[in-house]
Amino acid sequence: MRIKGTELFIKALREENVDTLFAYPGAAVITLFDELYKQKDIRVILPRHEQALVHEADGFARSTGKVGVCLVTSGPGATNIVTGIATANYDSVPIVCFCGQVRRDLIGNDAFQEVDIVGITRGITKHSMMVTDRNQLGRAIKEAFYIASTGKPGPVVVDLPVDMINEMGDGQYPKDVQIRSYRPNKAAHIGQIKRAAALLREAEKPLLLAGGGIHVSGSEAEFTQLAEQTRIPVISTVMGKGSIPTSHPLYIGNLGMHGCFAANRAVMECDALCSIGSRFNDRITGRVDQFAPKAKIIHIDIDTASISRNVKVDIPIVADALHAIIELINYTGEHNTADWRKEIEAWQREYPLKAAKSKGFSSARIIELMNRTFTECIVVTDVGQHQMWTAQYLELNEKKKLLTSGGLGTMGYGFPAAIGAKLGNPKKRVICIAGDGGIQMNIQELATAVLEEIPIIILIFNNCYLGMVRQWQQLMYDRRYAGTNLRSGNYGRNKPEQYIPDFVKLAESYNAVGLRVFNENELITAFEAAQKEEKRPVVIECVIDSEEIVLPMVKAGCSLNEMILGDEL
Amino acid sequence: MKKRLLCLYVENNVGVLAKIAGLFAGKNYNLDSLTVGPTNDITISIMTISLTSGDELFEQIKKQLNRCVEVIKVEDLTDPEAVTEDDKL
Repeated sequence: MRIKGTELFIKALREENVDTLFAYPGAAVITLFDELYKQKDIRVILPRHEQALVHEADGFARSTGKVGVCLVTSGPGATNIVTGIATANYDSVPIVCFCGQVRRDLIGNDAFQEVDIVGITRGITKHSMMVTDRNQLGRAIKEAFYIASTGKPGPVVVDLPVDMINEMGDGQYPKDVQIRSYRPNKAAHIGQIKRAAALLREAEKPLLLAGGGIHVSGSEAEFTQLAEQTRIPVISTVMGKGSIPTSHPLYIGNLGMHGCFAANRAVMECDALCSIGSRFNDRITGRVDQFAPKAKIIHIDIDTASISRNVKVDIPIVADALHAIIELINYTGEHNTADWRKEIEAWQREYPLKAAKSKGFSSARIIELMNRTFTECIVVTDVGQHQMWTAQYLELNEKKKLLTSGGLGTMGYGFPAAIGAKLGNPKKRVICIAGDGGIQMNIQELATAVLEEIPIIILIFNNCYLGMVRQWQQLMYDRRYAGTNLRSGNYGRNKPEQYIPDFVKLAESYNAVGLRVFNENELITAFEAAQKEEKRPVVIECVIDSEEIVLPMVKAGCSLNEMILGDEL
Repeated sequence: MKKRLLCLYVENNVGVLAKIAGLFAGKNYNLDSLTVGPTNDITISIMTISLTSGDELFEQIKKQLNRCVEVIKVEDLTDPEAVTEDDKL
C-alpha cells in the first residue's frame, strides 16, 4: 500500500512504541505536525526553545531507558539542537532527532532556513543521515532507532527534506534491521574475564571503579552483587554514582577533581583497578602519568576506542557492562580485603567529606535535608558547583537516581531534562537542582512545565556568581572575578541588593509557585509546601553564601595526590 | 613514527568521505594521502589512506574508523607483504 511520507512517519513512531514526542514546528515540518494533529497515541510536547527540547528528550531517555524522540524544523530549528545532541553524545544517551529540511531541488542553494545539519552534527552524533528517497524512509527510521539504542547508545540525526516527506511511497515499516557495517557486540571474551578474575584474586589492594556505563546497561544490581561477593571496595565517577547504594559499607565515594580524599588516595595506592563503563576522562584521572601508579588496570567498556586511549590498560575487555559483570561474578569468589578496607576507612576518618566553612546557608546542608525529606526521587542537576555538591552529598540507591550532564558539562541542561524525566516517570518525584546562572539558560521552560502540568521542584542555589568559574578565579587567578559576577553592570552597581531576575516574581508570572529561602527551617517549610503541589512546578530559590567553594579539589592537570582539602585556605 | 597504509571498505553513500575526513580533522590526526574508488559491488567504495604515526596513535585511528557506522571493514596494509597479497587478489 502506498501512503504519504508523513503517514509513514507516524506509523513508524507507533511501531517504535514512541508515546512522547518533543517537537517544535516550522515551515519544513508543518505537514508532519498536521499528521500529528490527527492522532492521539503520541503526546506532543511543545517546549519554548529547541535547545531545551533536546534536553527534555535526553532526560526522558536517561530516566526511562527508552529512545528520546525530537522533531524540529530546518535551519535555526536544527542548529538550536546542536548543544543538546553533543550533550547526549558524550553521555551515551539514545535520542533520535528528526529535522525538517528544504526541498531536495533547493538543497545547496542557500535557500530560506537551509543548513547542512547532517554536516554540522557529523562529529557529535553516533550517526547522521539525510533521507532523499521516499521509499527508503521506513528503513532509515528503523535504522535510526536501532543505531541510537544499541551498542554504546547515542544520538542519531535524520534529515527529512519537506518534498520527500510529503511524497507518496512505500507504506511498509520494516520489522527488523540488518546493517552490515554495524554489528554491536555485547558478550565479553571469556579468556579476558578469566585473566581479570585472576588479577583481582591475586591483588592485595583491589578496587572497583564504577562508571556511567553501569547505569546505561542497567547493571546496578549485578554490580552490587559483584562487589559484595568479592568484598572489593568501590569508587565511582560522577556518572557512575549510585551503581552501588551510597550507604553501602563497600562504597568509598567519587574520585577525581572533586572526589573525596579516601577515593583519590585509594586510586593512588591500589594494586589492581577494575574500571567498568568509564572512559578515564581527564576530570577523574588528574595527571595521567601519575594515575594509579601501583595498579594493574582492567578496563571494561563497550567502546573499543575508549580502551587504552587516556590510560594504558593491562587487561582490556570490550563488552556491555552487564554481560561482563555477570561473567566476572561467575569467575570470582570471596577475597580477603579486610586490611585494605581498614586502610581506606582510616583515610575516610582523616578527611571525611564535609561542608566547607561557610558563612551562610550551606549547600551540603541543603542536600542533606533533601536526603532526609525525599525517600524516592529522580534528581537532575545543571552544571557547576551545585552539581559537584550534589555529586558529593546526594544519597543514591535503588529508589533514588541522579541525572547530570557529565561529559559535555552543559549549563542549561538541568531544568529541561527534569521536565523530560517527569514526563517519563509521572509517578516519581523529580527535583531539579540548578545554579542561578544555568537556570537562566533555559528558564523559559517554566511555560512548558506549567502548561503541561508538570509538578517538579526546582531548587536554585543562588550565590550571585557563576560559582565554579569564580572558584577557579579565587584559587588560581588571585580573586579577579572576571565575567562571573551576575550582579555586575551599571544597574547592579546602583542597586547591589537586588538580584536580577527576581526568581519568585518570575515563577509567579508563569503561574508557577515561587519561594525564596534563607535558612534550613524555611527550606523545610518550602519542601512541605512543594510536596503538596500536584500540577504546578515549584521554584525554590535558596540564597546561599557567595564565597562557598567545592572541596576537596584537584586542580586540572595535577596528580590525584595533590588535593586542596581546605585546611590551607 | 612510521609510514602506514590503511584500506577502508565503506558504504557508497553521500557524506562518507566527509565523515572520514572529518574524523581525521576533528581528532587532529594528519594523513598523507587519501584516495577513494569503486569496487565490484556498486554499494561499496574503497578508501586507501596513507599516514605517518606512532603505534599508539595508529591503533586509536583504526579503532575510531571502525566505530563509524558506515565503515564495513578496516584493513591495515602497512606490512608490505600484505600489499602484495592484496594486489594479487
